[in-house]
Amino acid sequence: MVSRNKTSLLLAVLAAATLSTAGVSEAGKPTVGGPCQKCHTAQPDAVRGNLGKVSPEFSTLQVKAGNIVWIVKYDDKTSVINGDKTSGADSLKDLPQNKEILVSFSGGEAKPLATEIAVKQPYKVSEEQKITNDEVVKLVSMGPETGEYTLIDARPTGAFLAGHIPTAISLPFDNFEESCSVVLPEDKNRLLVFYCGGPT
Amino acid sequence: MSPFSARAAEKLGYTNIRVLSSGLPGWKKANGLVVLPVNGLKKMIHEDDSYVLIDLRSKEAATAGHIKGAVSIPEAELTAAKDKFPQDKSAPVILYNNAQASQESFGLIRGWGYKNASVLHGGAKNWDGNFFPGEPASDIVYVKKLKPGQITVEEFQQIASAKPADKVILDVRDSGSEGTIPGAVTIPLGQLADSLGDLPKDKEYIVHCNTGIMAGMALKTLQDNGYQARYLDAVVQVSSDGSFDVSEK
Repeated sequence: MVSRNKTSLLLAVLAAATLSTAGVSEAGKPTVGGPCQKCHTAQPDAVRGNLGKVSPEFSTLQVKAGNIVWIVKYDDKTSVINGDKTSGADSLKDLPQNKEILVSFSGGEAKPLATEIAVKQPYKVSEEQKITNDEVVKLVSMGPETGEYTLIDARPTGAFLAGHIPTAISLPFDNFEESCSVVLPEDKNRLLVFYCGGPT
Repeated sequence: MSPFSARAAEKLGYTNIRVLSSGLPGWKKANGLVVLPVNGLKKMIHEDDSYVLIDLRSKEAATAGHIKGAVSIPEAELTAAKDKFPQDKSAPVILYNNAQASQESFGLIRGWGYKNASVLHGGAKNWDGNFFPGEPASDIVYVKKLKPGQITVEEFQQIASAKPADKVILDVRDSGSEGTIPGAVTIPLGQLADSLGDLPKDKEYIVHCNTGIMAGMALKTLQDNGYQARYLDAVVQVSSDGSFDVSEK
């Protein structure tokens, strides 16, 4: 009885592993947290997810990835890379709960020991990618045809419906993949201008 | 949100991508024209929202048929009608003429401080909803209504300072945000659905972000999962020492 239960449990795990093809380890453990999968794929000997509890007593940290929690050991060789700052594992306590991290480990997934913990940096728009309000005023006064641009409102549909910049079309960021082929122009060299609900 | 979309477009192979990082708030601040889509006004009418809708056409045209709730103020009389407008400058004031209302009329209303002014896309001739015959109202009546699930700025501030045990302030801004309101729980919107296990169900969650947009989306996630929650639809700025400022949009 016991062994049959074990077998069916193993089958269930294997089935789950085949169902979600992205971001799982060899043993079928998720290595990339749900929201992270939008941009990241699995890497060997690394898990990407949200920081859970850190226990200095046991020298472990938790990484939440999908529906499971990885427990990873750390030691005094583990480095924490936060932007251009590199420090030791004692700096983990300064990170906010649920912070997105990428933990590279040695020792295999049965006994993972963190070698490097990289902390996700906030989205930044490069200076050359920024467009000023005045430039958008000029484009809008020409209109999309003469100005040869597509202005995209990345806010949720409800916000767009409450008012938008003239000539803008709606492509909510959380619906990007589903709607981009309908909304975005065919010409990949056309000027795309994105905006949303706040200073970014 | 827009940097995220810009990055996604870049991955699709678009080569000429720019981001207006000051967003709609910056556009409004510079007195830029704001367009209300036809479906947006239909939604407001359908949901019985409060709005100030001004028919700028002639009295005759407005009497022959106007949009529900419209007040008739012919364009030439707009300047003189200033005192008819509500005290509350956050009131959504919507203008329509036969065509799309002019930049001048919009600029006038905007100049009086109505930060949520807009013009109906394409004006009356582009409106495919109902027109109601009869004399339209000539006085503006505006009573602010909270949207479903919305909390007032006053009550939010009170909860943030009193920290009652049965309520939790939930901060869903991006994890790069500088400071946090003391006592608030932080879960970025993108991780909320996966983190519900961390949130006990016996509390009421008061959700905030920078502008109310992500908080509104978080509210839906919470309510869909059986949580009691409300959200703050206002502009929030938090300093690194945890002091914060809330203002109406």
